[in-house]
This record gives sequence, C-alpha cells and structure tokens, in this order.
Amino acid sequence: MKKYLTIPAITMFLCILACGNSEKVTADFNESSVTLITHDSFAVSEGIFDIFTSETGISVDQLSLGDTGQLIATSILTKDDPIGDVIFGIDNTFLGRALNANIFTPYTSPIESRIAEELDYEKSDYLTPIDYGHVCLNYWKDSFNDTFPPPKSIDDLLDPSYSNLLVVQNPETSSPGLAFLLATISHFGDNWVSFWQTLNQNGVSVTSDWESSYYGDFIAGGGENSIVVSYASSPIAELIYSDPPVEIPPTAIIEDSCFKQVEYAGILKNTKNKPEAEALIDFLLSQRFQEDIPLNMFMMPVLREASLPVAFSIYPTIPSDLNLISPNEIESNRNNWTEIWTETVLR
Amino acid sequence: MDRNGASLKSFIRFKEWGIALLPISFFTLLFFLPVFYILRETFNYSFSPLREVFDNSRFWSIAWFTLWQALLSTLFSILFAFPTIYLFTKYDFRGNRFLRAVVTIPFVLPTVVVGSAFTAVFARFNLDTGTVNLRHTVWAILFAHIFLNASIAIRIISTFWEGLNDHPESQSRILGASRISTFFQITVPRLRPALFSAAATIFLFCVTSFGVILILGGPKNSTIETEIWRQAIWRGDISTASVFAFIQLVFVIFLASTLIRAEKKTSLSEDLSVKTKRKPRKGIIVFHFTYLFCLFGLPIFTLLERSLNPGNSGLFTFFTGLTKRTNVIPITPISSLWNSLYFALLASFIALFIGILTSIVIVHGSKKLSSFLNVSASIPLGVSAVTIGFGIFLAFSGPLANLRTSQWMIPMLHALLGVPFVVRSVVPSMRRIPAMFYENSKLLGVNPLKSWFNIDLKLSYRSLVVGAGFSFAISLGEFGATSFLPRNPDTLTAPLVIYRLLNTPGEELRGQAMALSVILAGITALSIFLVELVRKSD
Repeated sequence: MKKYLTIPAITMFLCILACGNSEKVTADFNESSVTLITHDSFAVSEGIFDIFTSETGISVDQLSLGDTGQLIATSILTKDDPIGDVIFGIDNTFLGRALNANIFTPYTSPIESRIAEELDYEKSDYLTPIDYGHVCLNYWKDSFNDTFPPPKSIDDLLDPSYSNLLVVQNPETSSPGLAFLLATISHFGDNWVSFWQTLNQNGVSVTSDWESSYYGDFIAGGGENSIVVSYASSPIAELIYSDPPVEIPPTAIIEDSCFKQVEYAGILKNTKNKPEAEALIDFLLSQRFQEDIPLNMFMMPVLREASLPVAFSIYPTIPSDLNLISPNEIESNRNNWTEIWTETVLR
Repeated sequence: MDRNGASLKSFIRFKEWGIALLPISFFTLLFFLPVFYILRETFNYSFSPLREVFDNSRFWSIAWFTLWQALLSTLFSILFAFPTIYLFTKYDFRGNRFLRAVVTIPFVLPTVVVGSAFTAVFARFNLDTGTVNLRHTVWAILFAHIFLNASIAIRIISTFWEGLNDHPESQSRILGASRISTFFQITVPRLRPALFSAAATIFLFCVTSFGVILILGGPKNSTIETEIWRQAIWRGDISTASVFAFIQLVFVIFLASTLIRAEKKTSLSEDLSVKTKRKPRKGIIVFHFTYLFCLFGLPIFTLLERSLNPGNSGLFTFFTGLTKRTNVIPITPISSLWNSLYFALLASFIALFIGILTSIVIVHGSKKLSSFLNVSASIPLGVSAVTIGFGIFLAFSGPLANLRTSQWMIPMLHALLGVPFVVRSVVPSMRRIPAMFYENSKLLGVNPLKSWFNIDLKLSYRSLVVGAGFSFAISLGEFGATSFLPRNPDTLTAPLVIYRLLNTPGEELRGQAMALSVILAGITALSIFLVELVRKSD
C-alpha cells in the first residue's frame, strides 16, 4: 500500500524541485540580466541579443505571449509583481490604455533624439518608440486594368462600381480592423458613419480576423474580393515569400487609407533591474537592432540612420501626419466608436 | 456507496483521501485558485457588476446562443458518430486501427486551420453565396463542431460498447424482437453511461469553442467564450469579462454535473466480455469509408492539397522548407514540432497519472468526494482560456510567482485539459466492473487499494488508452491557453508557429503552415495507431 502513496509524493517533490529550478539560472552567477516581454509577433535575428550581452555583460531573457491586447492586460494584472522588466509591442492604438494603468517607470533614452522627426510619433516620458508600420487597403493588381482602374483613394470606394470588392476585419476583434476604422474616422471626420453606411449598402465583407480575410476572401488566398485591409509591408512580404518567385508584388496599396502604427517599449514600474532595463531600451534603438527589424517583423525602423534592406526600398512614403489621431483620443473613444461601427455594419 | 463492505469503510476513507490528495492539489492550483482570484477581482464583495450584465439584452442572446449551439453540436456529433461507432464495435476488418487513428486527426488541427479549410470547402461547393449560403452561419459552426468532436463520441462510446456482452441482445432477438427495436430498447439504454460521458465532454468543448465561432461564425455570432475574450482583451474591461466568466462557470458546472450525474445513475456493473467480431461484407466497408470521407475527408483533403506546392520548385518544398528558419519566427518550424511533442508527452503522462487517481476516487470514494472530483475533473474543459490564463497571473504571487513563467506551466495546463478525457473515458468502464471481483480479491487477502489498482487498471485498460490518446492529441493542438502563458520564444509550440506563419502574407509561409499542420495531424494519427497496436497485443 505504501508504494502507492510514495509515487505521488515523489512526483510532487520532483515537481516542486523542477519548478524551483526553472528560475533564471543566470541569477546564480551574480551576473546581471534583464527580462524582455513581447507579443508573439516579435522576431529578431538569431544571436542579436548576444551582441548586447557581450557589450554590456547583461544577459537577456525573453518571454513572449499572445498579442498586444494580451500583453497589456497581462502587464496590468501583474503590475505589483511583474514577470519581466521591459515590455515591447504596445502600439499607439492601445498606448492610452497602457499609460492610464500606470504600470511604467519613466525613461528617456539619449538615442531618442536620433529618431526620425518626420515620424511624428506620440512622445511620452514612459514609452520609447522602436518601430512603425502602416495598416492600408491592399488591392490585387490583376483585378484591375485601364478600363477598370484600381481605386486611387478611399473616397473612390463610395462609387458603386467598386461594390462587393472590399473585405475588412471587425475592429472589435482585430488590430488591422481597428486601425482601418481609425483611418476612416480621421479621413471622413464626422461623416465616417455615413461612409460605412454606404460601404454596407455597396456590399462589404467582414471577417473576425486578418487571416480569414486575407487568405479566405482576398484573391491572394483564392477568394473573390480584390481589396483587403492589410499592411503597407504586405506587398513586400508577398514579394519575399512568393512561390514561385516573382519580380514585382501582385498587390499594391491605396495610400490615403493608411493608418500609422508605432510600436513602443517601456520599463515596468516594479522592475528590480532598472539600469539593465535602460540599457536594453538603448539597445533596441541602436543601429544594429534597428536594421534587424524590417525583415523580421515587417515593420520600419524609427532610427534616422538605420539603412533599409533592398526589399524595403519599395516601402511607400506616406505623409507622417496622414490620418493622425492621438492615443488619448483613441483611448477615450475606442469602445464608443467600435460600438457605433458594430451598429452600422453588423446589425 | 462503496463496494467493499462496511467494515472496511473507515480504513478506506482514510486511504481515499491519500489518493485524492494529489488530484485535489492539482485542480486547486491550476483551476480553483485562478478562478477564485478572477472572481474576487470582479465582484470585490459586491454583486452590482452582475446586475449590470443581466440587464443587458445582448447578454441574454449571447447566453442563449452559447447554450443551443453547444447542445445541438453535442447532439449532432453523437448522432453522426453512430454509424462509425457501430462499425468499430461490430466488425473486424483490415485497416480498422488505421481508421481509428484517422478519426482522431481533426482533434489536433489548430482551429485557424480548420476554419480556413471549411471556408475553402464551402467555396468549392458554392455554399458561400447564393441560395444556400453557409458563410458566417450557425450551420458552418455546427459542421465544424461535428468534424472536431465526432471523434470523441466514436472513441468513448465504441470502446465502452466493445466491452459489453451480447447476452441481452441475443435474448431479445430470440424472443422475436426486431434488430431495430432491440437496438433502441436494449442496446441504447445499456450504452447510456458512455453516451452521457461523451456528451458531457463534447458539450464542454463546444462551450469553450473559440476559433470556430470567431472564424466560421463570423463577426455577428458571439458566444460567452468569444465575448469574454473581446471584453478582456479588446475592450480592456476585465470586470465585465469576469462577470461573463462567472456566468460561464455556473452554467458549465450546472450542465456538466447534470450529464455526469446521469452517467453515474445509468451505470450498472455487469459481466464483461471480449466479443467476437464479424468480418463485414464488402458493401458495408465501402459504405462506411464513403461516410467517413464525407464526415472527415473534405477538410483534411483541402489541407493536404494546400500543403503541396503547385509551382515548379517541387511538390514538397513547403515540407522541406520547415527545416529552415524563416525570419518571422524565432525557431525553425520543425523544432516547434519537437517542443510540441515534448510537451504532449509530459502532458499526457501527467493527465494519465492524475486521471487514474481521480477515476479511482470517483468510482470507489465516498459520495461527496466522488461527486466533487467528478465535476472538478471535467469543468476545466468548459472554462475560458482567458479565465484560466489571467487567473494564473493573479493567483500566483509571492512564492508561487516563479510558476507563472515556469516551463512546467505549459504541460501542466495541457494536462488540466487532458484529465477530463481520461476521466470521462475511464469512469464508465470502471463502474461496470462487477463488485464480485473486488470481493474475491478481498477474500484472498489483498488490500482494497491494491485490488482497485490491479483490477481497475487492467479491466479499463482500453479506456485508459483512449483517454491518454486524447490528452496527447489535445496537448499537440492546444492554442488558446498556451498563448496566454509567457514563455521563452525557443519553446514555441507547433500550433503557435502555424498561427504566426499565417499572420504574414506570402504563399511560402502559408504553404509551410499547412505542411506543419499536416505533419502535426500525421504524428497524432501515427501515435494513436501505435497505441492501438499495443492495445491489440495486450
């Protein structure tokens, strides 16, 4: 009989041991380390943090989880006892929520002065911009020709001849969906609701997530819609990951539909490694790291002197003040706007 | 109450707590504690948030939709599974183990992949426009739920049925009853424990169905599960989200315990038998294979088709590409597969271990402890990933804080979702073991604990295997809860990698996502097949 109780006892003991052991091993060697928390879309070249470690003697532990929304909610829930020191991946559509929760400690990197001024980003004592990109309408080039030209502007979508072509994502469940809604609010001002009413009458498809619209309804995935809400970098990704290889991307963007997304990093208030965390923020802004961003995350570096990979030379130049809405305004209106949108388009 | 005689009662009581200790700590740590903290956060000792939600008419329509889609999905999954259950129970044919393995495949496929496969199938048969339009309807949800869950019914019910002897049926036939009325009046009532057990599992699974509802249901259909996620993640309204989580919990406890009680009430101990199975006629085999192809084949076929490269660089380049690291993902897709396999092995081992202890207490323990564990072992399946994920962050503080980022969290959470499958397939089989067996063993001087382990484990071995197979598969395919756990990017699992591959445009990445899904499905089928071989030779 005893045998049966010893097995659970031993297992439990082993579990406790194992859990205890999984704690950062580096701490034992009295070496300084810093933990970087990111969303799951964070990607870097192999060994890039080794450069940081060899320069500073600080090792980097990486933790990743879910998406931006999950990242912010997690940091708020663990604000008294954070799971890491630096958080990366908060964009301007959720910046207000993160700042309101008062989870950061202020830090302004000396390198921040070298960020491209024309970026026109939201300045904050707490958060440092690391990269940026745009959510834009993409269209399938082959669906249009000289007699039926692609829409040049978001206004053209009101034209009934572009009926039933557009697929968008629900702004209540998708990040590009939300960004595009914000673009229309900025572009049309008070008339944004009537814009969506017209779209609804003309036939607009709505999916819950980006994948369903890009790979389900958009022509790229075998669907029938020739205009989709995606990213300004999507045509570049189409080029790099095309199979068989192509010379020019099969898609292009409609410029005035773009909404700028800036991704920020910040130091969590209850960190025990503030100096290390500051050094890491500086590293995220260093030329070496900044130049690593485009091909890994399909975002643009914020650093002025960072040079772009060849594939990104076709990244469109989009006016920095296009469709600008401040994070504060987004934060105080987001839920209200998405509710009106839901009433207009879904019900 | 307990089968081993009153004189031993107190002795057993004491030991039963010994066995129950580990399962209880397991559920407390991973389930009750996180849920408790989430609820405490919400209500803050006041019930006004609850009233607010109840006053909202939208809430009632969401709750009603959640209920009926889950009930209909459960009913249809079992109904559509029946021909195949019959095939596996009554016939012995070549390829039967292969087929058992194949029907488990849908289970591991990430829902984002299943969703897109169904969308493609609908498009191919022109079911997404015109008169029959399935796009973003409840029908699309039901189809996918049947596809995903019929295998639960097939495996649990056919394994139970195989262990039933034929005597009552033969007598009924001799007395002149028709085959059909024998089936409905004799067989179905005898199958009830397994029917209720399978129904409970499928129901819980459909309540927390997430990807299917979101992708196939479209933006207009929401369930409590998708609403919790939307409120918590998108609206940042943790309070409303946890009111929904609370309602989901009450709802799930109520319905699951009803089904579980029905399972208990209908169980009878009876003589076991190893049935001699017939060889089927060719027509029967053709019929069943066609039927299974219609049920499972089309989406899987679409997936296979998409994993192959039609371009001139070679048909299998998406597969060979999996060994190379693409920029957008921190590890090679193949190594994510190793991570998944490693976690799945650990998870199914833990699930099996906890599941066996739990089942023994459920079957032999005192009434209160038994009912408590019976319900606690199953409800984690019906509770939102958001609740458990965020609950863990709130609950694990102080000395437990390191657990939040521990690499053990992934297999432990997967095991939490695997235990219900072990328990729900093992308990009906254990319950029908004749009391005589334990009494004989007692007469021979074997202590009751030892006889439980010996008799129960040997006689419900087949169900254990089924449960272990499902825990393995559920861990391989798990996405929701895993995505909440902070982890080193080196330990990304295959479903997370598939999801990320599908998040950047480009044929190559998408092809690789499909290829990785095919391998994931293949591995599941293969491991179930191997387990079936072991089962046969035992």
